[in-house]
Amino acid sequence: MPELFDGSHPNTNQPKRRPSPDEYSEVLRNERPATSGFKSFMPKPFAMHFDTQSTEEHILLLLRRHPITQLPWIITAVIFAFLPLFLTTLPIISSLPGNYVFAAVVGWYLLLTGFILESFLSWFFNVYIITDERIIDVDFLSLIYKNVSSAKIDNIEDVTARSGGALQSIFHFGTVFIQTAGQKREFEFEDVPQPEKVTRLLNELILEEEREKIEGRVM
Amino acid sequence: MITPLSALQITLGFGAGGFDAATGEAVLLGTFKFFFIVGALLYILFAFIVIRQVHIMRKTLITEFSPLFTLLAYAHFALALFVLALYLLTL
Repeated sequence: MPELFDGSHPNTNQPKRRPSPDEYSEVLRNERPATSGFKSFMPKPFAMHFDTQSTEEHILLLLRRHPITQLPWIITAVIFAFLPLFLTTLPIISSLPGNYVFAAVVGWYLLLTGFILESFLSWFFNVYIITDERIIDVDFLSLIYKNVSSAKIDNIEDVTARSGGALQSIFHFGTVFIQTAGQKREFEFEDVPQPEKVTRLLNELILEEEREKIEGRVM
Repeated sequence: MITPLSALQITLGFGAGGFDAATGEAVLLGTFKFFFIVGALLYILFAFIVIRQVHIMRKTLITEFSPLFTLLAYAHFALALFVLALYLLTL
């Protein structure tokens, strides 16, 4: 019987299994899944999703700004926390009735609470996500302004990591510039930790996408 | 003795043209009270927007900490209400 009609041979037309990210990415293979949700470099994050995520899509890396970049608002908050101790000794304040001084101090700490809450939320939710399909930039620029941009991995044309200055060199963070062929031409992953690892991961993903196209793997 | 508050009253003209110093102080403190209460009301509006913002944020990025952030936002709102009540009762 011709080999063509022999059922004992494996069917080579069947869609090939999609490899797990650890199989094609050396960066991810060397990283342990992030268990804490408060880190700024989170490979394979546990129990974390985003609203436009499809069922077959997996988050490979979630990035936030390096914690050291949050130092200005933390220092400001600490200074502002101690400021009433000095301000209440000023004659213009101390000559006011006690209940008014107390009201001013309470109001001051309420404002400070709002400032800390806003600054922390802004850091926590402004994230950059790399999945096995896309890159996503989530921006909350003010109280009511939200901007979510995404681009498919196979639309990425160029990836550049830039790191400079004493602070970025010491604490090992920088900005990753990603040129795409999509509607949003350039993505900037600002002040992210280990920018060269991010660049390497993106290059591995681009290569894998090209391999998928060549091998005709079904997504 | 001239205190900074009475100096401010003199600068504003209290006690000079029909107003005595006690009335001047009452008007000044009343103005402060007005600004404190208006400030607290505006802050309540801000705290409410923070609740809405946290709601949008936790829908955008779903984490195991999402309920904690909602709790924080509501606690912040409750604090703002408490401060307004404090101003209304003590000033």
